[in-house]
Amino acid sequence: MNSGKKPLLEVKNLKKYFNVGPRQTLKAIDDISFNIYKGETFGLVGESGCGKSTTGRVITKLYEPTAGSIYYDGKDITELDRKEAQNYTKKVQMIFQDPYASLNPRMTVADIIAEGIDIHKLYRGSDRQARIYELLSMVGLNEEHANRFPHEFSGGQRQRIGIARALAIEPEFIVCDEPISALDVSIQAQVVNLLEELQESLGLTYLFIAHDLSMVKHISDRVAVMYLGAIVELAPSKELYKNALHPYTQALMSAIPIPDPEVEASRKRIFLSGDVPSPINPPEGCKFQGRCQHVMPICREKTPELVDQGDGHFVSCYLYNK
Amino acid sequence: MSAIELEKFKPIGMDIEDSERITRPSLTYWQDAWRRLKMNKLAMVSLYVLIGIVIMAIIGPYLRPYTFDEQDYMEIFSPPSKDHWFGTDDLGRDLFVRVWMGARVSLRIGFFAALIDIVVGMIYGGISGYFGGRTDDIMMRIVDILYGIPYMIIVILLMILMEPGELTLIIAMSITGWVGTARLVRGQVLQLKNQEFVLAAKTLGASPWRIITKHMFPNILGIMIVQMTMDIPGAIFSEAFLSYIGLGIKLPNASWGSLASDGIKQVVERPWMLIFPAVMISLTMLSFNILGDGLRDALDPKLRN
Amino acid sequence: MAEKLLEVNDLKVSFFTYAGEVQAVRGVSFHVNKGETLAIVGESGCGKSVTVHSLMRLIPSPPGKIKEGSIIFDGIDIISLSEKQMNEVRGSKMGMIFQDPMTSLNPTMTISQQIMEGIMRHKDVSKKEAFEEAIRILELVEIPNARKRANNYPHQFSGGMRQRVMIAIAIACNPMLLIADEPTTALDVTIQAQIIDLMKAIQKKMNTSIILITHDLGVVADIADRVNVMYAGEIVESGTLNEIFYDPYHPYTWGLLESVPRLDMAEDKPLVPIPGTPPDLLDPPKGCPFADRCKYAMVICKEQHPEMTSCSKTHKVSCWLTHPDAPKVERPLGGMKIE
Repeated sequence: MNSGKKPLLEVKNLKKYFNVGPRQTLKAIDDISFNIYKGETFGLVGESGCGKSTTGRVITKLYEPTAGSIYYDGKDITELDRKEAQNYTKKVQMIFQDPYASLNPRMTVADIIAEGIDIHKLYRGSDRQARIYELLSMVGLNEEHANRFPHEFSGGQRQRIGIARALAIEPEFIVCDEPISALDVSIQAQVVNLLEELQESLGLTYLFIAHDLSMVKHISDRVAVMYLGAIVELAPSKELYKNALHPYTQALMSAIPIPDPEVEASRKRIFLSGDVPSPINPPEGCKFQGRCQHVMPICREKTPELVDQGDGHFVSCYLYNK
Repeated sequence: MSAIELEKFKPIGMDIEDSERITRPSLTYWQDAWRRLKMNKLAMVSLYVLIGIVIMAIIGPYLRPYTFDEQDYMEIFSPPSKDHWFGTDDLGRDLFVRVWMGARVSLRIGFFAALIDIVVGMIYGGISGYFGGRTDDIMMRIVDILYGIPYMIIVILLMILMEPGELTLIIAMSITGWVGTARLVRGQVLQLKNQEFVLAAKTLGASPWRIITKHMFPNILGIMIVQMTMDIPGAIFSEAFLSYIGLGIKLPNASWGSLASDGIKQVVERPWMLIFPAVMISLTMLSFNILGDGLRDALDPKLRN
Repeated sequence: MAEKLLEVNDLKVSFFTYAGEVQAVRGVSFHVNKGETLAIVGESGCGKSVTVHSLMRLIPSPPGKIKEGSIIFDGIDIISLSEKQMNEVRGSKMGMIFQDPMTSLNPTMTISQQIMEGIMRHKDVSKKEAFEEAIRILELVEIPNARKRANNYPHQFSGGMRQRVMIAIAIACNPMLLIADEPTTALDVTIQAQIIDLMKAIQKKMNTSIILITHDLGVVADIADRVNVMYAGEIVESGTLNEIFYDPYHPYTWGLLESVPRLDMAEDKPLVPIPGTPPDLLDPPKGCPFADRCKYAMVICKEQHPEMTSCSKTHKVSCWLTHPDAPKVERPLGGMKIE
């Protein structure tokens, strides 16, 4: 895919299992591969428990992968020494989901934003102060806010503080782990627009994790759809929304209500029966077989490969991989 | 509707600065907790009682012209009077002075035993909870074992091995006292470990030391203060009990426990010898417990709104 | 024509905190007709939850207090009822579905017990009859193998199934009004679609009125008949579904509609966020509460509160732009309808 360009981040056959009991393994990520190129926004969508957040956490080294490798700028991040690892944290940052839990309630906003600056000893004294003010204004807040505590802010303001914290050490790559799902719609647009502006002015690359497909479509260049720890479809975002191939992607898209009464009234839904099965001891073969309308015998035997259907549109489904 | 001047309809656009302004006064966690505590009348009374006791422990012995070990055989067993406010004991020593000298010993033991519990418990529990896995397994098994040893046996053993006195009492109480705190802290740390602000610090490259001291301890400090206010009366009571059975402070030094122990022998004829130290012990314990409850309500983040 | 089931007039609810009086709901009036779905939309903190909690008299007091106004439900004045009378109304005539299906069920009771609890309190039936009724309701909310699963505990159900159980509890006594407080916010989209569909089916079957609180305009477009838009403790615009989506008057409503991305549009329209933050209701502005964030704000907006103006029989808005002397602005949502 995108041959010729070198990926900034390369995820290869990544697996992350958790032991959750005697002879029980939770397969949070089960063999996924994708590339992210410099300057793009790569969306990762799926329902809760599909492994999208775990993927983000493995990339930011909060979790060690069970198998597989992640190359950043050509280097395997699982084999970094201490100094390289410290360097890596300066390049790869994360924005978290819950604006209430992601800020330490006992620290002032200035200290929260300056955390990375202090850890990596980037600025001191009045330079540190100036940098904090600069970061605050970058995210639409001002100096007055610096000495206040997180609980005094609204959700959207807190999320912007979280963004300022991540930006403080001038990262190149930011994992946005559901940064807007806890926010009100009007505030979501604020945060998304801010992320887009920052991407443009600072040349950032994003991995944007969310369950809201309409927002992911809006912000991403390419989107991967995850289901039970596997990527079922990966395509440029416009292509995906125009021409979804995988039955799961189709169902997911049809489940999203459109804020337009007439469209809503005339729309047909593909209903998925039941719930997402547990990632503990998932089924053999295609992960989606239990809820798929088009299930075939082969789906129960072997996991379908993620195959290119042209123009960088990959799908992992036997309907297309004859 | 009365007519409105046309110029009032001049567009002025939005004022974002104004909408981002925070109008509420800035309250830190501690200011907010203090505000809540102040609303709790009973806890505030307890706080004042305790402050009174501490002040008296400091200045009380100097209010009278006697020292704590000055014997006056002309004044043996004299009941409370103008000269001896709390009366005197079997050697004619002034009980007012002795009660406040005893307060110093009892409060010191209570405070330091509780402090050591908290410090050791926080470090031990913090390390165990933060690193988890095998470290946690091993450290918690040690705690289990310590928990299983009857604490009285350790105290009595220590009292035999070491010189009886204040220091020995503090060590004896701390040697097993911290395990409860360690468990509490470990539980808190396990909870905090997966909070997003801790994960955020990790992705910024924070060292375990920084995470434990900057992110975890400040968030469990409130609970620790409550724990300490609950621990102090426990230690004071243990001291009183040990002194009472003769394993504590040695004469002529006094603590509330040893004074009560002396008093019980004379309880029928000279009740004042028991009443004053006993009232002090009860008042202190009660005040600490009520204050502890008040602090728990004031510091509990779940009740904040 | 339509019969009013609920009428709320000038409702004011405040919370008395250490910092002062937080005016969470500031004079809200609306009604719900029999068999219709009213959606209340707005940002968090706009008072939509407090409003419906007041209908059920679920405002914790202290610090909360219903200061003024009347709530007439099925001819009964809710505010004047005693706590005991209110208990009769709750559950039997009004049911409520909460946001979080994980915490709103009692983990130590089987789901049939939890459904039977309400039935036995409000209806004169034997335990066996109540159980049969519980099974019937579980089947109604499409729980597979209802009879077998009735004796399971909540933790044995998935999130979506738990929300179905919550709905079952809420409708157990055939309430006339079902209040749903963000019923799908905690759920995945595919499950959300199932739950919304279920609510529609139940409404059809039982002719229940529904008040739906949500911030998801997609859900509103899917299920609502009428919409109230709330901001800073007030209703700023109310109208039928089509009026709110295709003919909105209030700049805040425009803002809400413009700030959501659309999955069905091939070409991306830029998202237009509503900048800034809603006012603190501890000290609400004396003029229009939205003025600071409003592109079209005028001098008067900051000084004087706009009155509710009717745009049609069903459509009301509280904005100075509707004043005849106000400058004409082009409404940005002319192109909201596609094709």
